[in-house]
Amino acid sequence: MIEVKGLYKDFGALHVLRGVSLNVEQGDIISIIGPSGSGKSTLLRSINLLEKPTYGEIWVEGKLITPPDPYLHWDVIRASHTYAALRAEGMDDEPAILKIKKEDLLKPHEGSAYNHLMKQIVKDHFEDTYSVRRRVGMVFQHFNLFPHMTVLENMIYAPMKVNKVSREAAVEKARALLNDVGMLSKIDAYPGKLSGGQKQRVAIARTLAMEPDIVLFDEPTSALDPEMVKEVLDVIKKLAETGMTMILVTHEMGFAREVSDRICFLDEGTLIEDAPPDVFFTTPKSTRAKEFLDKVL
Amino acid sequence: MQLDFSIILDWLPAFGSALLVTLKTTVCSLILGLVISVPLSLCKISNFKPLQWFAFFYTSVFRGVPLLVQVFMMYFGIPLVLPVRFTAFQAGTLVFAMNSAAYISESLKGGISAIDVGQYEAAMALGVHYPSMMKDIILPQAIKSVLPSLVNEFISLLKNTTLIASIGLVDILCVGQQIQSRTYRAFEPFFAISVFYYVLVLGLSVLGKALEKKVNASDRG
Repeated sequence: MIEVKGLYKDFGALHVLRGVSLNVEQGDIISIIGPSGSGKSTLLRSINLLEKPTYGEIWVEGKLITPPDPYLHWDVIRASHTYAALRAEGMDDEPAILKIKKEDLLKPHEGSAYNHLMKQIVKDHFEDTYSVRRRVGMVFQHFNLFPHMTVLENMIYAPMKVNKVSREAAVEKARALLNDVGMLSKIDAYPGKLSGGQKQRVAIARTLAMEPDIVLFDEPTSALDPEMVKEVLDVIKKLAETGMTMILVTHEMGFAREVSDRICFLDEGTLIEDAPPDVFFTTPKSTRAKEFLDKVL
Repeated sequence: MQLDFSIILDWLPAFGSALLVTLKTTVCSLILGLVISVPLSLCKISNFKPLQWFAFFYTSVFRGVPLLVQVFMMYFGIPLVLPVRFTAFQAGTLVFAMNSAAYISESLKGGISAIDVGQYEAAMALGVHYPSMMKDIILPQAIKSVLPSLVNEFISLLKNTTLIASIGLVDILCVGQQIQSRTYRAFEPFFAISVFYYVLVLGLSVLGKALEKKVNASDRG
Protein backbone atom coordinates (compact mmCIF):
# COMPACT_ATOMS: atom_id res chain seq x y z
CA MET A 1 0.00 0.00 0.00
CA ILE A 2 2.88 2.33 0.82
CA GLU A 3 6.29 1.72 -0.64
CA VAL A 4 9.18 3.92 0.40
CA LYS A 5 12.22 3.32 -1.78
CA GLY A 6 15.70 4.57 -0.99
CA LEU A 7 14.52 7.80 0.61
CA TYR A 8 17.06 10.54 1.26
CA LYS A 9 16.34 13.91 2.84
CA ASP A 10 18.94 16.63 3.26
CA PHE A 11 18.41 19.88 5.08
CA GLY A 12 21.39 21.74 3.69
CA ALA A 13 24.44 19.88 4.97
CA LEU A 14 22.37 17.86 7.41
CA HIS A 15 21.48 14.37 6.14
CA VAL A 16 18.31 13.50 8.01
CA LEU A 17 17.32 10.42 6.02
CA ARG A 18 19.95 8.27 4.33
CA GLY A 19 18.30 5.70 2.16
CA VAL A 20 15.23 4.45 3.99
CA SER A 21 13.11 1.74 2.41
CA LEU A 22 9.86 0.58 3.91
CA ASN A 23 6.80 -1.42 2.85
CA VAL A 24 3.41 -1.04 4.44
CA GLU A 25 0.56 -3.38 3.54
CA GLN A 26 -3.16 -2.70 3.77
CA GLY A 27 -4.27 -2.86 7.43
CA ASP A 28 -0.72 -2.76 8.79
CA ILE A 29 0.02 -0.83 11.92
CA ILE A 30 3.62 0.29 11.93
CA SER A 31 5.34 2.09 14.77
CA ILE A 32 8.45 4.06 13.97
CA ILE A 33 10.67 4.48 16.99
CA GLY A 34 14.18 5.70 17.57
CA PRO A 35 16.22 8.37 19.33
CA SER A 36 15.36 12.02 18.76
CA GLY A 37 16.91 13.40 15.60
CA SER A 38 16.89 10.00 13.97
CA GLY A 39 14.57 11.19 11.18
CA LYS A 40 11.33 9.54 12.37
CA SER A 41 9.13 12.58 11.87
CA THR A 42 10.79 13.50 8.58
CA LEU A 43 10.09 10.00 7.25
CA LEU A 44 6.46 10.21 8.34
CA ARG A 45 5.99 13.73 6.99
CA SER A 46 7.45 12.67 3.65
CA ILE A 47 4.60 10.21 3.16
CA ASN A 48 2.10 13.04 2.73
CA LEU A 49 4.72 15.36 1.27
CA LEU A 50 4.91 17.89 4.08
CA GLU A 51 8.62 17.24 3.46
CA LYS A 52 9.87 16.87 -0.09
CA PRO A 53 12.43 14.06 -0.21
CA THR A 54 15.79 14.86 -1.79
CA TYR A 55 16.14 11.47 -3.50
CA GLY A 56 14.12 8.30 -3.55
CA GLU A 57 10.55 7.49 -4.33
CA ILE A 58 7.35 7.01 -2.39
CA TRP A 59 4.48 5.01 -3.85
CA VAL A 60 1.04 5.13 -2.27
CA GLU A 61 -1.55 2.63 -3.48
CA GLY A 62 0.32 2.09 -6.73
CA LYS A 63 0.79 5.79 -7.43
CA LEU A 64 4.11 7.60 -7.45
CA ILE A 65 3.82 10.67 -5.25
CA THR A 66 7.40 11.99 -5.51
CA PRO A 67 9.26 12.89 -8.70
CA PRO A 68 10.82 9.74 -10.17
CA ASP A 69 14.34 9.01 -8.96
CA PRO A 70 16.45 7.87 -11.92
CA TYR A 71 18.68 5.81 -9.64
CA LEU A 72 15.74 3.51 -9.01
CA HIS A 73 15.27 3.02 -12.77
CA TRP A 74 18.58 1.85 -14.22
CA ASP A 75 16.97 1.20 -17.59
CA VAL A 76 16.24 4.93 -17.66
CA ILE A 77 19.81 5.87 -16.74
CA ARG A 78 21.02 3.67 -19.59
CA ALA A 79 19.17 6.02 -21.94
CA SER A 80 21.14 9.07 -20.80
CA HIS A 81 23.93 10.76 -22.77
CA THR A 82 26.25 10.54 -19.77
CA TYR A 83 25.86 6.76 -19.64
CA ALA A 84 26.46 6.47 -23.37
CA ALA A 85 29.63 8.53 -23.05
CA LEU A 86 30.96 6.41 -20.19
CA ARG A 87 30.22 3.21 -22.10
CA ALA A 88 31.99 4.63 -25.13
CA GLU A 89 35.06 5.08 -22.93
CA GLY A 90 34.86 1.33 -22.31
CA MET A 91 33.39 1.35 -18.81
CA ASP A 92 31.20 -1.59 -17.77
CA ASP A 93 27.46 -1.24 -17.25
CA GLU A 94 27.13 -1.06 -13.47
CA PRO A 95 30.25 1.03 -12.75
CA ALA A 96 29.06 3.44 -15.44
CA ILE A 97 25.67 3.86 -13.77
CA LEU A 98 27.19 4.27 -10.33
CA LYS A 99 29.64 6.86 -11.59
CA ILE A 100 26.85 9.17 -12.74
CA LYS A 101 26.00 11.68 -10.07
CA LYS A 102 22.36 11.90 -8.98
CA GLU A 103 22.48 15.67 -9.15
CA ASP A 104 23.49 15.54 -12.82
CA LEU A 105 20.67 13.18 -13.69
CA LEU A 106 18.07 15.38 -12.03
CA LYS A 107 19.01 18.33 -14.22
CA PRO A 108 16.87 18.72 -17.35
CA HIS A 109 18.15 16.74 -20.34
CA GLU A 110 16.47 18.37 -23.31
CA GLY A 111 15.35 16.08 -26.08
CA SER A 112 17.14 12.94 -24.86
CA ALA A 113 15.64 9.48 -24.66
CA TYR A 114 16.42 9.63 -20.95
CA ASN A 115 14.22 12.67 -20.61
CA HIS A 116 11.45 10.99 -22.54
CA LEU A 117 11.50 7.92 -20.28
CA MET A 118 11.42 10.05 -17.13
CA LYS A 119 8.39 11.90 -18.46
CA GLN A 120 6.73 8.61 -19.30
CA ILE A 121 7.09 7.40 -15.70
CA VAL A 122 5.49 10.61 -14.48
CA LYS A 123 2.71 10.31 -17.03
CA ASP A 124 1.95 6.71 -16.14
CA HIS A 125 2.26 6.75 -12.38
CA PHE A 126 2.50 10.22 -10.87
CA GLU A 127 -0.23 11.51 -8.60
CA ASP A 128 -0.40 15.17 -7.60
CA THR A 129 0.22 16.20 -4.03
CA TYR A 130 -3.32 17.36 -3.29
CA SER A 131 -5.03 14.11 -4.16
CA VAL A 132 -2.40 12.13 -2.22
CA ARG A 133 -3.16 14.18 0.85
CA ARG A 134 -6.85 13.48 0.54
CA ARG A 135 -6.11 9.77 0.96
CA VAL A 136 -3.36 10.10 3.56
CA GLY A 137 -4.55 11.66 6.82
CA MET A 138 -2.22 13.09 9.40
CA VAL A 139 -2.48 13.68 13.14
CA PHE A 140 0.01 16.14 14.58
CA GLN A 141 1.82 16.39 17.89
CA HIS A 142 0.35 19.85 18.50
CA PHE A 143 -3.16 19.01 17.20
CA ASN A 144 -3.25 22.05 14.88
CA LEU A 145 -6.97 22.57 15.17
CA PHE A 146 -8.16 25.80 13.57
CA PRO A 147 -8.69 28.11 16.57
CA HIS A 148 -11.17 30.42 14.84
CA MET A 149 -13.57 27.58 14.04
CA THR A 150 -15.77 25.54 16.36
CA VAL A 151 -15.20 21.81 16.71
CA LEU A 152 -17.97 21.18 14.15
CA GLU A 153 -16.54 23.70 11.68
CA ASN A 154 -13.11 22.12 12.07
CA MET A 155 -14.68 18.77 11.25
CA ILE A 156 -16.72 19.75 8.20
CA TYR A 157 -14.45 22.34 6.57
CA ALA A 158 -12.16 20.08 4.56
CA PRO A 159 -14.79 17.44 3.65
CA MET A 160 -16.98 20.20 2.20
CA LYS A 161 -14.19 22.21 0.62
CA VAL A 162 -11.97 19.43 -0.67
CA ASN A 163 -14.20 16.36 -1.03
CA LYS A 164 -17.24 18.46 -2.05
CA VAL A 165 -19.45 16.66 0.44
CA SER A 166 -22.80 18.37 1.15
CA ARG A 167 -23.14 20.22 4.43
CA GLU A 168 -25.80 17.81 5.74
CA ALA A 169 -23.68 14.75 4.98
CA ALA A 170 -20.57 16.38 6.46
CA VAL A 171 -22.38 17.34 9.67
CA GLU A 172 -23.86 13.87 10.02
CA LYS A 173 -20.45 12.26 9.54
CA ALA A 174 -18.87 14.73 11.98
CA ARG A 175 -21.44 13.92 14.67
CA ALA A 176 -20.88 10.19 14.25
CA LEU A 177 -17.09 10.56 14.45
CA LEU A 178 -17.23 12.93 17.42
CA ASN A 179 -19.47 10.42 19.14
CA ASP A 180 -16.87 7.70 18.49
CA VAL A 181 -14.13 9.75 20.14
CA GLY A 182 -16.43 10.89 22.96
CA MET A 183 -16.44 14.56 21.98
CA LEU A 184 -20.01 15.04 20.74
CA SER A 185 -20.88 17.20 23.75
CA LYS A 186 -18.22 19.74 22.70
CA ILE A 187 -19.39 20.04 19.11
CA ASP A 188 -20.03 23.78 19.33
CA ALA A 189 -17.02 24.63 21.50
CA TYR A 190 -13.96 26.46 20.20
CA PRO A 191 -10.66 24.56 20.46
CA GLY A 192 -9.41 27.09 23.01
CA LYS A 193 -11.93 25.71 25.52
CA LEU A 194 -10.70 22.11 25.22
CA SER A 195 -7.99 20.24 27.11
CA GLY A 196 -5.02 18.80 25.20
CA GLY A 197 -6.47 15.30 25.20
CA GLN A 198 -9.81 16.59 23.96
CA LYS A 199 -8.12 18.61 21.22
CA GLN A 200 -6.22 15.57 20.02
CA ARG A 201 -9.37 13.44 19.97
CA VAL A 202 -11.08 16.10 17.86
CA ALA A 203 -8.01 16.29 15.60
CA ILE A 204 -8.15 12.52 15.06
CA ALA A 205 -11.86 12.76 14.25
CA ARG A 206 -11.15 15.65 11.87
CA THR A 207 -8.59 13.53 10.02
CA LEU A 208 -11.04 10.61 9.80
CA ALA A 209 -13.77 12.89 8.44
CA MET A 210 -11.78 12.99 5.19
CA GLU A 211 -12.18 9.18 5.00
CA PRO A 212 -8.46 8.55 4.46
CA ASP A 213 -7.05 5.16 3.49
CA ILE A 214 -4.02 5.66 5.71
CA VAL A 215 -3.51 7.70 8.86
CA LEU A 216 -0.12 9.00 9.96
CA PHE A 217 0.38 9.87 13.62
CA ASP A 218 3.27 12.20 14.42
CA GLU A 219 3.93 11.77 18.15
CA PRO A 220 0.24 12.15 18.96
CA THR A 221 0.68 12.05 22.74
CA SER A 222 4.00 13.87 23.19
CA ALA A 223 2.43 17.27 23.88
CA LEU A 224 -0.12 15.94 26.37
CA ASP A 225 -0.18 15.98 30.14
CA PRO A 226 0.37 12.42 31.42
CA GLU A 227 -3.21 11.97 32.61
CA MET A 228 -4.53 12.68 29.11
CA VAL A 229 -2.32 10.23 27.25
CA LYS A 230 -4.57 7.25 27.87
CA GLU A 231 -7.76 8.79 26.44
CA VAL A 232 -5.95 9.53 23.18
CA LEU A 233 -4.25 6.12 23.01
CA ASP A 234 -7.63 4.47 23.58
CA VAL A 235 -9.02 6.31 20.57
CA ILE A 236 -6.05 5.25 18.44
CA LYS A 237 -6.39 1.67 19.64
CA LYS A 238 -10.08 1.67 18.73
CA LEU A 239 -9.17 2.93 15.29
CA ALA A 240 -6.53 0.21 14.95
CA GLU A 241 -9.18 -2.42 15.63
CA THR A 242 -11.21 -1.20 12.64
CA GLY A 243 -8.40 -2.32 10.33
CA MET A 244 -7.20 1.16 9.39
CA THR A 245 -3.70 1.29 7.94
CA MET A 246 -1.63 3.40 10.30
CA ILE A 247 1.92 4.57 10.77
CA LEU A 248 2.81 6.00 14.14
CA VAL A 249 5.84 7.87 15.34
CA THR A 250 5.69 7.43 19.07
CA HIS A 251 7.62 7.36 22.32
CA GLU A 252 4.97 5.20 24.00
CA MET A 253 6.84 1.88 23.91
CA GLY A 254 4.18 -0.12 25.72
CA PHE A 255 1.54 1.13 23.33
CA ALA A 256 3.70 0.49 20.26
CA ARG A 257 4.31 -3.06 21.44
CA GLU A 258 0.61 -3.63 22.08
CA VAL A 259 -0.93 -2.34 18.86
CA SER A 260 1.77 -2.61 16.17
CA ASP A 261 2.23 -5.29 13.58
CA ARG A 262 5.79 -4.15 13.05
CA ILE A 263 8.30 -1.90 14.76
CA CYS A 264 10.65 0.13 12.61
CA PHE A 265 13.72 1.33 14.46
CA LEU A 266 15.36 4.34 12.90
CA ASP A 267 18.80 5.63 13.87
CA GLU A 268 20.74 8.46 12.26
CA GLY A 269 18.51 8.45 9.20
CA THR A 270 18.77 4.73 8.56
CA LEU A 271 16.18 2.05 9.16
CA ILE A 272 18.17 -0.53 11.09
CA GLU A 273 15.43 -2.85 12.33
CA ASP A 274 12.03 -3.77 10.95
CA ALA A 275 10.52 -6.57 13.00
CA PRO A 276 7.35 -7.71 14.78
CA PRO A 277 7.12 -6.11 18.25
CA ASP A 278 7.69 -9.34 20.18
CA VAL A 279 10.91 -9.97 18.28
CA PHE A 280 12.10 -6.37 18.43
CA PHE A 281 11.45 -5.80 22.14
CA THR A 282 12.85 -9.15 23.28
CA THR A 283 15.67 -9.91 20.88
CA PRO A 284 16.77 -6.80 18.96
CA LYS A 285 19.49 -7.59 16.44
CA SER A 286 21.54 -4.39 16.50
CA THR A 287 23.50 -2.98 19.39
CA ARG A 288 22.02 0.47 18.70
CA ALA A 289 18.51 -0.87 19.26
CA LYS A 290 19.65 -2.71 22.39
CA GLU A 291 21.16 0.46 23.79
CA PHE A 292 18.05 2.43 22.93
CA LEU A 293 15.75 -0.09 24.58
CA ASP A 294 17.93 -0.22 27.69
CA LYS A 295 17.46 3.52 28.04
CA VAL A 296 13.73 3.76 27.43
CA LEU A 297 12.34 0.57 28.97
CA MET B 1 -11.83 89.14 22.81
CA GLN B 2 -15.25 87.76 23.59
CA LEU B 3 -15.91 84.14 22.58
CA ASP B 4 -19.25 83.54 20.94
CA PHE B 5 -20.08 79.87 20.43
CA SER B 6 -23.56 80.63 19.15
CA ILE B 7 -22.10 80.93 15.64
CA ILE B 8 -21.40 77.20 15.78
CA LEU B 9 -25.12 76.60 16.22
CA ASP B 10 -25.86 78.76 13.19
CA TRP B 11 -23.51 76.62 11.11
CA LEU B 12 -24.69 73.28 12.50
CA PRO B 13 -26.44 72.13 9.26
CA ALA B 14 -23.23 72.80 7.30
CA PHE B 15 -21.24 70.89 9.91
CA GLY B 16 -23.72 68.03 9.64
CA SER B 17 -23.34 67.52 5.92
CA ALA B 18 -19.57 68.07 6.18
CA LEU B 19 -19.38 65.39 8.85
CA LEU B 20 -21.07 62.99 6.45
CA VAL B 21 -18.43 63.80 3.82
CA THR B 22 -15.65 63.11 6.31
CA LEU B 23 -17.18 59.82 7.44
CA LYS B 24 -17.97 58.71 3.91
CA THR B 25 -14.41 59.38 2.79
CA THR B 26 -12.97 57.61 5.81
CA VAL B 27 -15.13 54.51 5.59
CA CYS B 28 -14.77 54.16 1.81
CA SER B 29 -11.00 54.60 2.08
CA LEU B 30 -10.73 52.04 4.85
CA ILE B 31 -12.77 49.41 3.02
CA LEU B 32 -10.96 49.96 -0.26
CA GLY B 33 -7.65 50.04 1.60
CA LEU B 34 -8.40 46.72 3.27
CA VAL B 35 -9.30 45.18 -0.08
CA ILE B 36 -6.01 46.37 -1.60
CA SER B 37 -3.97 45.39 1.44
CA VAL B 38 -4.83 41.68 1.29
CA PRO B 39 -3.25 40.93 -2.11
CA LEU B 40 -0.45 43.32 -1.21
CA SER B 41 0.37 41.40 1.97
CA LEU B 42 0.21 38.13 0.00
CA CYS B 43 2.76 39.63 -2.40
CA LYS B 44 4.99 40.44 0.55
CA ILE B 45 5.00 36.87 1.84
CA SER B 46 5.23 35.37 -1.64
CA ASN B 47 8.28 33.35 -2.68
CA PHE B 48 8.17 35.00 -6.09
CA LYS B 49 10.72 37.81 -5.96
CA PRO B 50 9.14 40.25 -8.47
CA LEU B 51 5.91 40.25 -6.43
CA GLN B 52 7.94 41.00 -3.30
CA TRP B 53 9.76 43.82 -5.06
CA PHE B 54 6.53 45.28 -6.33
CA ALA B 55 4.97 45.23 -2.85
CA PHE B 56 8.09 46.69 -1.29
CA PHE B 57 8.21 49.46 -3.88
CA TYR B 58 4.51 50.23 -3.45
CA THR B 59 4.83 50.51 0.31
CA SER B 60 7.97 52.62 0.18
CA VAL B 61 6.34 55.08 -2.25
CA PHE B 62 3.23 55.60 -0.17
CA ARG B 63 5.25 55.85 3.01
CA GLY B 64 7.92 58.05 1.53
CA VAL B 65 5.85 60.74 -0.19
CA PRO B 66 3.88 63.20 2.01
CA LEU B 67 0.18 62.49 1.95
CA LEU B 68 -0.72 66.01 0.81
CA VAL B 69 1.62 65.63 -2.15
CA GLN B 70 -0.04 62.31 -3.01
CA VAL B 71 -3.46 63.99 -2.89
CA PHE B 72 -2.32 66.81 -5.20
CA MET B 73 -0.68 64.30 -7.53
CA MET B 74 -3.83 62.23 -7.83
CA TYR B 75 -6.19 65.20 -8.22
CA PHE B 76 -4.14 67.66 -10.28
CA GLY B 77 -1.22 65.69 -11.70
CA ILE B 78 -2.46 62.29 -12.88
CA PRO B 79 -5.40 63.60 -15.02
CA LEU B 80 -2.87 65.56 -17.10
CA VAL B 81 -0.93 62.46 -18.16
CA LEU B 82 -3.55 59.74 -18.05
CA PRO B 83 -7.01 59.74 -19.61
CA VAL B 84 -8.77 59.77 -16.25
CA ARG B 85 -10.70 62.40 -14.36
CA PHE B 86 -11.42 62.26 -10.67
CA THR B 87 -13.85 64.18 -8.55
CA ALA B 88 -12.27 65.49 -5.37
CA PHE B 89 -13.99 62.70 -3.44
CA GLN B 90 -12.70 59.99 -5.78
CA ALA B 91 -9.15 61.32 -5.83
CA GLY B 92 -9.08 61.72 -2.05
CA THR B 93 -10.60 58.31 -1.34
CA LEU B 94 -8.28 56.59 -3.78
CA VAL B 95 -5.17 58.15 -2.28
CA PHE B 96 -6.20 57.47 1.30
CA ALA B 97 -7.12 53.90 0.40
CA MET B 98 -3.85 53.19 -1.39
CA ASN B 99 -1.99 54.85 1.42
CA SER B 100 -3.61 52.89 4.21
CA ALA B 101 -3.25 49.71 2.13
CA ALA B 102 0.50 50.24 2.37
CA TYR B 103 0.34 50.43 6.16
CA ILE B 104 -2.32 47.76 6.67
CA SER B 105 -0.49 45.30 4.43
CA GLU B 106 2.61 45.76 6.54
CA SER B 107 0.81 44.78 9.76
CA LEU B 108 -1.12 42.07 7.93
CA LYS B 109 2.18 40.61 6.79
CA GLY B 110 3.27 40.56 10.42
CA GLY B 111 -0.02 38.94 11.39
CA ILE B 112 0.36 36.25 8.75
CA SER B 113 3.94 35.40 9.66
CA ALA B 114 2.95 35.16 13.32
CA ILE B 115 0.62 32.26 12.54
CA ASP B 116 1.90 28.89 13.63
CA VAL B 117 3.30 26.75 10.82
CA GLY B 118 1.12 23.94 12.12
CA GLN B 119 -1.94 25.75 10.78
CA TYR B 120 -0.52 25.58 7.25
CA GLU B 121 0.51 21.96 7.73
CA ALA B 122 -2.92 20.94 9.02
CA ALA B 123 -4.61 22.64 6.08
CA MET B 124 -2.19 21.07 3.60
CA ALA B 125 -2.51 17.63 5.19
CA LEU B 126 -6.28 17.89 4.71
CA GLY B 127 -5.70 18.53 1.00
CA VAL B 128 -6.80 22.17 1.09
CA HIS B 129 -5.50 24.26 -1.82
CA TYR B 130 -3.48 27.45 -1.27
CA PRO B 131 -6.22 30.03 -2.09
CA SER B 132 -8.77 28.38 0.25
CA MET B 133 -6.13 27.89 2.90
CA MET B 134 -5.27 31.60 2.86
CA LYS B 135 -8.88 32.77 2.66
CA ASP B 136 -10.43 30.45 5.25
CA ILE B 137 -7.62 29.47 7.59
CA ILE B 138 -4.74 31.93 7.57
CA LEU B 139 -6.21 35.37 6.79
CA PRO B 140 -9.11 35.20 9.27
CA GLN B 141 -6.61 34.53 12.04
CA ALA B 142 -4.18 37.15 10.75
CA ILE B 143 -6.83 39.85 10.44
CA LYS B 144 -7.99 39.08 13.95
CA SER B 145 -4.51 39.56 15.29
CA VAL B 146 -4.07 42.90 13.48
CA LEU B 147 -7.47 44.25 14.50
CA PRO B 148 -6.02 46.65 17.09
CA SER B 149 -3.68 48.18 14.53
CA LEU B 150 -6.57 48.28 12.07
CA VAL B 151 -8.52 50.48 14.50
CA ASN B 152 -5.46 52.72 14.77
CA GLU B 153 -5.33 52.91 10.99
CA PHE B 154 -9.01 53.86 10.94
CA ILE B 155 -8.30 56.63 13.42
CA SER B 156 -5.36 58.11 11.55
CA LEU B 157 -7.35 57.81 8.33
CA LEU B 158 -10.16 59.81 9.92
CA LYS B 159 -7.73 62.54 10.88
CA ASN B 160 -5.91 62.46 7.54
CA THR B 161 -9.12 63.06 5.59
CA THR B 162 -8.90 66.74 6.61
CA LEU B 163 -6.45 66.97 3.70
CA ILE B 164 -9.27 66.72 1.16
CA ALA B 165 -10.29 70.23 2.14
CA SER B 166 -7.21 71.25 0.19
CA ILE B 167 -8.70 69.96 -3.07
CA GLY B 168 -12.01 71.68 -2.44
CA LEU B 169 -14.20 69.02 -0.89
CA VAL B 170 -16.34 70.47 1.88
CA ASP B 171 -15.42 68.43 4.91
CA ILE B 172 -15.52 69.58 8.52
CA LEU B 173 -12.25 71.48 8.29
CA CYS B 174 -13.47 73.28 5.18
CA VAL B 175 -16.60 74.45 7.01
CA GLY B 176 -14.35 75.83 9.74
CA GLN B 177 -12.38 77.79 7.17
CA GLN B 178 -15.62 79.13 5.70
CA ILE B 179 -16.77 80.30 9.15
CA GLN B 180 -13.41 81.93 9.71
CA SER B 181 -13.54 83.87 6.47
CA ARG B 182 -17.15 84.97 6.96
CA THR B 183 -17.04 85.91 10.65
CA TYR B 184 -13.32 86.52 11.26
CA ARG B 185 -13.59 84.14 14.19
CA ALA B 186 -11.08 81.32 14.38
CA PHE B 187 -11.12 79.96 17.91
CA GLU B 188 -14.75 78.87 18.06
CA PRO B 189 -14.95 76.96 14.76
CA PHE B 190 -11.60 75.23 15.17
CA PHE B 191 -12.34 74.44 18.78
CA ALA B 192 -15.62 72.90 17.68
CA ILE B 193 -13.83 70.91 14.99
CA SER B 194 -11.29 69.69 17.51
CA VAL B 195 -14.10 68.50 19.74
CA PHE B 196 -15.78 66.77 16.78
CA TYR B 197 -12.65 64.81 15.93
CA TYR B 198 -11.78 64.09 19.51
CA VAL B 199 -15.20 62.62 20.21
CA LEU B 200 -15.16 60.62 16.98
CA VAL B 201 -11.75 59.14 17.69
CA LEU B 202 -12.69 58.38 21.28
CA GLY B 203 -15.82 56.63 20.05
CA LEU B 204 -13.80 54.63 17.56
CA SER B 205 -11.30 53.55 20.20
CA VAL B 206 -14.10 52.28 22.42
CA LEU B 207 -15.69 50.52 19.47
CA GLY B 208 -12.34 48.98 18.57
CA LYS B 209 -11.82 47.67 22.10
CA ALA B 210 -15.28 46.12 22.12
CA LEU B 211 -14.70 44.51 18.74
CA GLU B 212 -11.36 43.14 19.85
CA LYS B 213 -12.92 41.64 22.93
CA LYS B 214 -15.67 40.02 20.89
CA VAL B 215 -13.44 38.32 18.36
CA ASN B 216 -11.00 37.19 21.00
CA ALA B 217 -13.79 35.46 22.90
CA SER B 218 -13.34 32.32 20.80
CA ASP B 219 -9.66 32.04 21.72
CA ARG B 220 -9.91 32.15 25.46
CA GLY B 221 -9.61 28.73 26.99
